[in-house]
Amino acid sequence: MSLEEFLSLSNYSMPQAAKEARLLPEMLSLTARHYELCPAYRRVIDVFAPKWRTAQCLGALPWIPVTLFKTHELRSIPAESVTNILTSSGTTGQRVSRIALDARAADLQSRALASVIGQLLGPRRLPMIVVDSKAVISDPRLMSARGAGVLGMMKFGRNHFFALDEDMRIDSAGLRAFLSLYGSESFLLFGFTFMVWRHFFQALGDGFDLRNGILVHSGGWKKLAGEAVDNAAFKQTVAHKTGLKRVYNFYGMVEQIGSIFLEGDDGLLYPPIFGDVIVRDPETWAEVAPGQVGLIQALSLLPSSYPGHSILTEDLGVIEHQDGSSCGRLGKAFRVIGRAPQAELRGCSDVPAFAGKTV
Amino acid sequence: MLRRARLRGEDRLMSETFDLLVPDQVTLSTASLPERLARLAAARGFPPFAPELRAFCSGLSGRLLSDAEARRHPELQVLGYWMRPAATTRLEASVRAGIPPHIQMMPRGLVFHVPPSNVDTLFIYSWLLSLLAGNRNIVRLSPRRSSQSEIILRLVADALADVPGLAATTMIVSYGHEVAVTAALSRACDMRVVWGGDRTIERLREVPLAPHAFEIAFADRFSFSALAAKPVLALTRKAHDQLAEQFFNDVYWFDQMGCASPHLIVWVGEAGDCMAAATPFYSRLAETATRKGYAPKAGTSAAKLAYAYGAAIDLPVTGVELFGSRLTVLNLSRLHDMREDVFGAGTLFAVSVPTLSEVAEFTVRKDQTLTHFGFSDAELIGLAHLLNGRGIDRIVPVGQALAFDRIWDGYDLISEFTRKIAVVPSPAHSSDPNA
Repeated sequence: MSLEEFLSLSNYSMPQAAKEARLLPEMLSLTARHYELCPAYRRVIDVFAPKWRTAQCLGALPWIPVTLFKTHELRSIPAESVTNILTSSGTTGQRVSRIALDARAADLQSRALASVIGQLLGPRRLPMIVVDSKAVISDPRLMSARGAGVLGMMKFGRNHFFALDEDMRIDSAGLRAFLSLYGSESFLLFGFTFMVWRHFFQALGDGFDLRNGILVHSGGWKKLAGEAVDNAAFKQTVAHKTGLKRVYNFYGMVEQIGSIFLEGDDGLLYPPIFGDVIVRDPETWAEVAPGQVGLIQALSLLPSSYPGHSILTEDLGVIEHQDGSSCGRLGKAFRVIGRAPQAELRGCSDVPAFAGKTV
Repeated sequence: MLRRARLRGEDRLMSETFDLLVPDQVTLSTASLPERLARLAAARGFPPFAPELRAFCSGLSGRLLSDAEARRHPELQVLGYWMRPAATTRLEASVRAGIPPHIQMMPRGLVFHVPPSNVDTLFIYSWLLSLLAGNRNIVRLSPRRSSQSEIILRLVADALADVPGLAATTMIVSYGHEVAVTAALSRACDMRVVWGGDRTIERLREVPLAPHAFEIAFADRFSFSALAAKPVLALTRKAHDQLAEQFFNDVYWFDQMGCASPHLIVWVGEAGDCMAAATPFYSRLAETATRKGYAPKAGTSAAKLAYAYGAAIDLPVTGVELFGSRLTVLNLSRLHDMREDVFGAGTLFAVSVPTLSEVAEFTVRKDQTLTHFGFSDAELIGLAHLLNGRGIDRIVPVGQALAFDRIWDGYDLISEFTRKIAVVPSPAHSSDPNA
């Protein structure tokens, strides 16, 4: 079953076993493609998964750590075919991932995203509130993950209204105007979890009725850890304050852009039809059973221009069940717990207090 | 205090502070430094190996070996043994034996120690050798200290109280970026000891010392291990276990981030022997890690794996032996320089070579410790001569990589910490009437 065929199917419609059986040959041929076209990937796979061709299940497919995209250039297309380089967000000094796309990969990625978001929002474009400032999309040439995410989602809306200014203040007058025009029917809100919470809902004055809104947000809870906000508290506060009840978080990463794990009505995350999720024990790297916490491996048929189709993330998660959803979705349902804790390795090759600053 | 200063915009004019940890625990303004340093300079010092100094070492040793918290850290136990009375007596005898009769050994004066923040317990070795040499000392510790260092500091304060006059010769301080503090301490000292890494040394070299003063700096180093395949194969099960356990200590203490922690195993012998010896040894090493409860955090394991994947791209890696998150062995097709980018937490490269002389060709100045197993004395001494000082400052048995010694990185530390005073009697008073 080709990616095209997968994209023609409804997401969450296939039992796990059937889905795996159909994904496996596609994942293997994608692995073969990258093995052939990306020499660095070939070296890695020769060392770490020399028997990959005999994989009998998704769990036996080779995978690479997502941070490899930060330290190495990995692409399976010639430099002249690159149309877009996506970079991950990162604070100053951190290395960022660089993801090379060609026209085909970019097209597949936006169609794949449409298959997931379209299933949530319906075929019609909705009036849209972007919970960000317009500045975030002003330089599309070197897109940050945030800019790329906003641009990607804007395709699902119309009459876009950017709710924040460059200083992250709410444009209350603009919001009122938007609501008086579109507030009585379904409209879309999109933003990054941290900004939606901190700069929008927490800063929002009383008297804004968002009950017809559908909020899609992503980006993780890490920055909100200090405020003890989890998904449930987030939803409760939002509903209480504005009447907005349709809130959907999604988990995704720039290294697998277009392939998102969208929250179902039961609050759990679900892989798209063309992808899957595996949880691995960080002590043995073996696949763990549902209910056990481990590092999240994300699989997707999308990445064709770079070997990002099977990547081990740095996030901890747990698969809650498969084919057992209360909201009618088939396949694996999982939760993201957060970034895996990392201890500083100590040694005698650095005295940070003196490093990086001229005395 | 520093954090507050940063929030206010890091105003350079603002008075900076530093923490005094020993002898008192108090945060001080840098404005008080000149007065503190004057007091330190005025303090009556002790002659090298004075009974008071040895009593202090003995007192600290006893505390380290009996304190319930300290006993949980093997490296603190090693430290405790290292300065028990018999050891300091031996040290003094060996130092005195090396000094010509007309030379008197005296302290340098004031020594400023800058230990690394990540193997922070190293400060104690540097400080104690200097203390035994009779110096007054300032030790600068990082604000981010390990729990081991906190234990040491507690026991040091305790032991100092037993030796009148010694506390007045000692200042252990802690501060972050405060340039004024580093500058004042550097100007005041007779000798500065910088324990790396390279960037720290470069930064500190910009801070002037008094004209007569000098500096010893310990740059970033690389360490590795040479194992003779046949002797490893000939080991009994028990001896093999012991070797693995000693190797475990070398690798895993300090998360393999010490300058002397090995990152590479060079198997020496016929290819078949090397292959036969390698995998069982790694298995035993991984078992030891399991038994000792070595388990990196999930994120560290992921980073360690990502490093190994990157190494497979960048280096001539032919295969990997993964023992979960405890041990990663990357097999190299040939000796290849990987010194600039190594990872700890149980990540080893391995290679086979026919003879030990290949190690000599691979060695560069940066190389510090070679741990060995299965070679004759003649082979090891032969290697040192073959190297002719080009690199490798210590050739020690497996298990002793991190054992601190007065000879470190090519320096005889205790000798560096003393001033050699020539006292030549006048011929008229010579005891020999014919002179």
